[in-house]
Amino acid sequence: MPTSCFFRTSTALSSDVSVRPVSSPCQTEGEVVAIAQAGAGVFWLELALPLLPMSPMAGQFAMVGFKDTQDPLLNRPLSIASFEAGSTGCRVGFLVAIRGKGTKRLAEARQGLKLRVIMPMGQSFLRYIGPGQRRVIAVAGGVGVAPMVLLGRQIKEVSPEADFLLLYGARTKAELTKRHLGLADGLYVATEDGSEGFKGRVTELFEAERTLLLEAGRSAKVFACGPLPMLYALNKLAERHRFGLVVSFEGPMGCGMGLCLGCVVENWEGMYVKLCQKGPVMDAKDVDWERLTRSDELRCAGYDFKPA
Amino acid sequence: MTSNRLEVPFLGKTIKNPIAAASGCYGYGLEQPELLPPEAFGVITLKGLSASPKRGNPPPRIAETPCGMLNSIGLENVGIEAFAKNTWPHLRGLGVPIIANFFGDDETEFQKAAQMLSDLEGLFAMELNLSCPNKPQWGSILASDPKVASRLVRSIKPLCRYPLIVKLSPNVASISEVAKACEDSGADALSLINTLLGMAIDVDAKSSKLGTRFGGLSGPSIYPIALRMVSEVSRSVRLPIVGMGGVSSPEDAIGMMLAGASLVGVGTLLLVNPFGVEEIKQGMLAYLDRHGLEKLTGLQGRL
Ligand SMILES: Cc1cc2nc3c(=O)[nH]c(=O)nc-3n(C[C@H](O)[C@H](O)[C@H](O)COP(=O)(O)OP(=O)(O)OC[C@H]3O[C@@H](n4cnc5c(N)ncnc54)[C@H](O)[C@@H]3O)c2cc1C
Ligand SMILES: Cc1cc2nc3c(=O)[nH]c(=O)nc-3n(C[C@H](O)[C@H](O)[C@H](O)COP(=O)(O)O)c2cc1C
Ligand code: FES
Repeated sequence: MPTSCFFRTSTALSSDVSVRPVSSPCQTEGEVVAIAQAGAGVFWLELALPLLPMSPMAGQFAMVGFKDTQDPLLNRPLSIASFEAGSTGCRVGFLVAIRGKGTKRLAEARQGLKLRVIMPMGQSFLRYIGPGQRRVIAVAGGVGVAPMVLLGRQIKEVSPEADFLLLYGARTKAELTKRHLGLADGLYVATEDGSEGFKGRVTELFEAERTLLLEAGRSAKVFACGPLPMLYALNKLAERHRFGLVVSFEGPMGCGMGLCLGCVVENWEGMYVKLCQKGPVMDAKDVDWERLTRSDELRCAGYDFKPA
Repeated sequence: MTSNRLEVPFLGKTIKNPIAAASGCYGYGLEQPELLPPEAFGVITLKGLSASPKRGNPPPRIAETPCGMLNSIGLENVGIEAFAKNTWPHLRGLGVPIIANFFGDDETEFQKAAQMLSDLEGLFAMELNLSCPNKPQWGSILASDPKVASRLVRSIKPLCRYPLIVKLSPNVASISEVAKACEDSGADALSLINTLLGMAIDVDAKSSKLGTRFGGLSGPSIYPIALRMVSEVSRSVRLPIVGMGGVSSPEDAIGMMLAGASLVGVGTLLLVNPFGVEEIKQGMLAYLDRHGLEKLTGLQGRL
């Protein structure tokens, strides 16, 4: 028996090409037009790109890399936080947490620096909602808020009636990003040390406000992005209170394009699927959460799992 | 652009440009038809295939290193039967010569794979992977012992309906001895190099950064080693060579040809910069102009 099969989705092996990406990504060049601190250890990065033949959808990501060096070599996956198309070009924005070599170097970028950008990649949140959706609740931990910023813009296009509530948590007030959050119809903030908003975890905030949040009944959809323990705790709530939950996973990637088989995770049947194409956004029902939390493989894969 | 200035001969065929997609870095050729169209390549080498499906290694499978990366994919693949049924029909019609890379866990599996691939209609060539470092149980023996390599090539060659390319490992004492053994045993061409066995440690976790202990190093950091090995092998055999390992610029590709390669494989480059293929081709044309050459044929050297 495999030690950690937790994705229930596909029956196809990751190396089976019958699974195609939703939209074909483009490779282009992005010029840094804005870079600014957006909280402790987090910065906002905005790039000017030429016109693209398609627009990204919330939850999709870009692979961003350096053209002026081969160290770091690989492009980094970043969720698309904002996107605006003009008549001559477009702008794409990212919210980036400084972690290792690549994000550190990115944080030091100057205006005018040209970066390699390949986008949009992966599955989006939007495929999980239709025009009749009355409420969408986004739950974000740390830079997991990035895709929710774009979601806030796009949600009314898909579902004009929907109200969009954002629950946003960080460890401290200093780590919170305040930019671009005005798009939500309601914003709820939690900090673990209580320095702003609700004192505690964002999942505890959810639990505290649950009756209010889910007042529109079971038709409320919950989208989540953040550290694995947060997603795990939220799934427990989803099972208990029976609401629909869709989560976005972060995992190490090689190419982000489905070419290398470097990003695989196991599905329910113990087969490997490519997170860059089957994910990063997945229905929580397709995930075997109990196995996930026991998974040593996953811990090795960069997830620091401590049950909430 | 329909210029034929980049055409090169290889295994009795005119190849429209010398750039080969290296095995394992372009999937089965259909994953990114728009971002990196198959037609960009002179030839395409598919991800390694085996007679039965292979699960591959546990994640994490990739660890970045200075100017390179380690992988421990572990030859995950759907197996030749599923490939033949689901993928090959879509690949065949593309008009780009396709090389099927294959391996087995033992000699019988190698033979079975060779037979199954020979049943496909329309392949260009078959590439025998002598050297995957992710399969230590046989990789080190097969790859480094000229006698074992020779025996394997002799037993596989008669089963191959298509030209047989043998892909050499750099993890050996003398790559030219293995190359000679393959030539004497009936190989039609050689490709080199596969990845160099390496390791990366997460010092905080006190464990390997990969799901396995070791992985295969690829990317720009291995280019000088690859170049030296292509040069060495090209002086010791007459077989045509697909030179690869860290190629990421037109200069790298031209260097490979000057060292003795007929075709130039690109692997890691595709994972990072899909535009790189076009950049290399344009750079080669500029090089021809700069040196007053009409065509790429004739550039190949034995430096
Ligand atoms: C779909 C997706 C969306 C993401 N969106 C964002 C975002 O919007 N903002 C943000 O700050 N971060 C995001 N991340 C995480 C981000 O990609 C990593 O933090 C980043 O790659 C780390 O690179 P580094 O060079 O700083 O760290 P290093 O540890 O030096 O990275 C070394 C290698 O490991 C890979 N790696 C390490 N950790 C991760 C990780 N958690 N996820 C993916 N690759 C990893 C890197 O790509 C690189 O190849 C996202 C990850 C994924 C998969
Ligand atoms: C992710 C990955 C997967 C690979 N898979 C295979 C494989 O299945 N069979 C094989 O013969 N070589 C495989 N290789 C080796 C490459 O084909 C190539 O020989 C090597 O990476 C050196 O070239 P590069 O530096 O241009 O990548 C793989 C390499 C990488 C990076
Ligand atoms: S196949 Fe998913 S990152 Fe390369």
